Amino acid sequence: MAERYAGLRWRLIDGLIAAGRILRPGRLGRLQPYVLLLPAILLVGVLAVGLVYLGWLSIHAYDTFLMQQGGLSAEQYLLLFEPPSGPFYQKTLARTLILSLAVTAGAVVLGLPLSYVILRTPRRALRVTLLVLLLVPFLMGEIVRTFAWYLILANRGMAGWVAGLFGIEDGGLLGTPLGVFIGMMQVSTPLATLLIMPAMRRIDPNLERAAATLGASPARIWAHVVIPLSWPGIVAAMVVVLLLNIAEYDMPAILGLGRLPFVANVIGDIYRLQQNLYLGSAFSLLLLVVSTLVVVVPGLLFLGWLRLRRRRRSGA
Amino acid sequence: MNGPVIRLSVALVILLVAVPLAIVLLASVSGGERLAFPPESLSLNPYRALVGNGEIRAALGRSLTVGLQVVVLSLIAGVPAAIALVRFRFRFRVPLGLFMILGVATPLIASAFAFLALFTWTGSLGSLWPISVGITVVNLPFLMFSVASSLLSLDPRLEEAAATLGAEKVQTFLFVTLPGIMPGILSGTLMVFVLGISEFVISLLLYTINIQTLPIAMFASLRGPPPPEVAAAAGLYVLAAVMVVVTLTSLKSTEQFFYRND
Amino acid sequence: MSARPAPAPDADGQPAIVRLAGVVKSYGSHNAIDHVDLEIRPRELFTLLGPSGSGKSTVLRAIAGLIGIDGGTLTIEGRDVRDVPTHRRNIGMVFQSLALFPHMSVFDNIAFPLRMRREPQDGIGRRVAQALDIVRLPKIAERRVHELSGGQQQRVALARALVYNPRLLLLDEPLGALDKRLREEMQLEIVRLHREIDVTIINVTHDQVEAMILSDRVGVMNDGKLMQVGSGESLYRRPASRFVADFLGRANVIDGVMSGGPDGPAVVTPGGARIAVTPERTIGEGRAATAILRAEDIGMALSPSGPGGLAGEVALRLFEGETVYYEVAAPGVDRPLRLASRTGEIPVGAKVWLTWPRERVWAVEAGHG
Repeated sequence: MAERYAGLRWRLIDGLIAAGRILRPGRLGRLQPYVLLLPAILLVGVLAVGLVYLGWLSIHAYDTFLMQQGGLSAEQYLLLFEPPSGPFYQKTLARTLILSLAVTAGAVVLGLPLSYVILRTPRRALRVTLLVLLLVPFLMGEIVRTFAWYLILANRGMAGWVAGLFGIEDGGLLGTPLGVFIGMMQVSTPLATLLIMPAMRRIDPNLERAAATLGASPARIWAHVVIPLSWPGIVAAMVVVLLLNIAEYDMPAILGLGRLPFVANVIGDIYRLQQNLYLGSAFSLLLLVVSTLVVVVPGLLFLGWLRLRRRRRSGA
Repeated sequence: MNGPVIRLSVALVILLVAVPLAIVLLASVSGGERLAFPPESLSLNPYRALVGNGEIRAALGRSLTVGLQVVVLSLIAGVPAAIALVRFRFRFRVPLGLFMILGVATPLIASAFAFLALFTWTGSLGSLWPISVGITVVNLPFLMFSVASSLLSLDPRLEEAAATLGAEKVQTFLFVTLPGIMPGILSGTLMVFVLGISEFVISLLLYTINIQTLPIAMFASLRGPPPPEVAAAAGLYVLAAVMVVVTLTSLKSTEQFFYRND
Repeated sequence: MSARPAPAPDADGQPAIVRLAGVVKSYGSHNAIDHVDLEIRPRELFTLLGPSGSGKSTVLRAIAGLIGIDGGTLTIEGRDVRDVPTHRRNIGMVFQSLALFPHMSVFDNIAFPLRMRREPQDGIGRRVAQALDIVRLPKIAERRVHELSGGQQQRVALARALVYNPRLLLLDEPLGALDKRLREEMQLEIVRLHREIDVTIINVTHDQVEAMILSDRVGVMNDGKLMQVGSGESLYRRPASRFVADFLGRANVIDGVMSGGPDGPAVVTPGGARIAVTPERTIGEGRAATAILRAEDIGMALSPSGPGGLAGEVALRLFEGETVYYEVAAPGVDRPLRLASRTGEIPVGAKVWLTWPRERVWAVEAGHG
């Protein structure tokens, strides 16, 4: 142990300190955080530049036959909204939003009791098992998740086998909205749970016990204590899960067998089949705007309102 | 806690999450030409097929490369950024913090498309690096969050004590701060690595034939009935995810984070 | 606890080891340190005492260099340390949370400052052992920090702060989180250490008993200002302000107006009660003043035993163990008088006569805090 701090190591450190002194006289010390953030800023900056470039592309016309960029025009957005192609894109957008909302609602509804159990159960084995089950779907990868559900929902898969037990022919769920819904729930529920947990964790268990002694049934305790105090977490869960689901690609593509494309699938097709970066840009930006307006802004506003309400109650 | 409603919901979720895992693992060890449920027999054939299939092996190699590149980029960008946002007070702190989340707040397909457009314009398509850059940007917040939590739970007095004991800033960082945030760095790195090797959308848009990563190869083969190699690959992903998660949850600090029963 | 040994050398004998002159530290519009002048003498054990938010910790941290000051000068051993960063001030510091490095063993913790100073390897082992001996923990060098008890961790923190022989040791409420027994034990430890080693100690605490027990001198702070500096006893007996009087011990703080008389100076309350005050104190006739009457100085009897007392009725009686605490309502005094009795036989509601030796009653001119 004594040898570690001698010789080379210390000379390196002295070098670092000297370099630090040269680079950091007085005022430049202020720049320290910016220097630390520089690599990250550059990296995320690539995305920012890319998005701006998308904006640029989306306001140009494009000749799909000649593969040539035209002049400034609203052509791409017109294609998205006006017939003959508009309804298709709008329908896709609607389908995306509706299914995503359904999955989000389901995930939150299932996530609340799950979160509660993990936080309150004294049984360590149960808690660890649940946590592992929650975290694994995240790290599996979209394609593997989708593959798993493909196997389950196919005719020759588990669903078909179970249906066959009941004498139902062709009981696979592939190609149906229900199938896509179930598949998407697998990652949305854990995500919702993980986001609800921090807020729920802050609830003093004694509050629930107090409510019980005051005569509240479990349902009432949930309605009046647990859920209201978990609101920030619930809102965060709704925002993030919805955001992720709107952008979903794999599940609709594979589980929907191509009959139920989401916006992401259509954008992918626009690129693969038409090489049309312009229309793709427009649709991507449309999706970005929709998700910001529909999800992020209401979420932030709601959280702000929650904080304001809390401050007003404890202040004046 | 023991109400029937709660029990039912929990059981439902366990099914929802555990069944797919089990199915994949089962499929990865099923014999027979085609995958069916219940499987015709159990065998390690899929894994043998995986090893034997040159294309799939190459794709796996590329995915691992991408994973490592993502780790390197994430560490270089994410660790200093997390330190800057947590330990310093400066004027643009909040806007820059929000800026970092851009990759997560933007729908994945839009980000992927942005990278596609940008890299097409610069002509960089055809190498794995654009894919790694894209995946890093999108997953950076996870590493930053992990490091930031570690940093926040570190007693700031430790760094002050080191200063009173005669340590320069560099020494304090190397001998006190860095060991303290190691758990956060490690778990963040694991997460980012696994997310990198299994990422799909960005790899899909930015790929050309000779830089197919494993998820894309798997996707291609899902047109018809999936060959056993794909099942084995999926099995590997599940095993990797399980190992990482078990490591993460066995850290004492994670456990204490989740349980509260005053 | 007995009185301290001979006080530290006087200021005119040697230069102060730490001097604050007009030091100001502000956060926004609020002055955490409000024009403080203070001199710490070499080898003394000085305590900064005050309630939360009084600025005492801020002063300590300014001396340590952990925060900068906005005005005034701060010198340590004669040199202005404004531009000297913390790690070059050669001070030792123990924090309330101890801040022992959790990822290092006890040995590595204590060796840390020596390694930072590039001490030669062979010396380090010996000096760590010496430091552990001084705090009387010889055998635990290889243990991890979390394996130690609270008291042991305290001692390790002290050993780490002393192993490189700093001239100045700063203690930031290190005993605050300990239970009573451990706290008393550690107080004795600190006194012993101070006697054995050549070091100046600046201690910060809100516990006035601790301050008086440990220190050669005490400085009382309130709201960023240094109210009074002196030995514990002089602060207790001759407070310069209402605040100091109220902060130390249990005092009855009675406002009124100074009035001379045939029986000597007294403070006359708005209600007309006359509180005799020590003749030592000369405050001009008619000036607003506050009489300070310590609870332990008041005697209580059922019948008057001489002039110069007050009649009253017992309102509250609480058994405290060593003493019985009483509150007696006296006409002319707006708040009940508090006193501590050794016998405590008088019940609630009894009409009593309160007396006190007038030399023990101090007076403070109003407007002095």
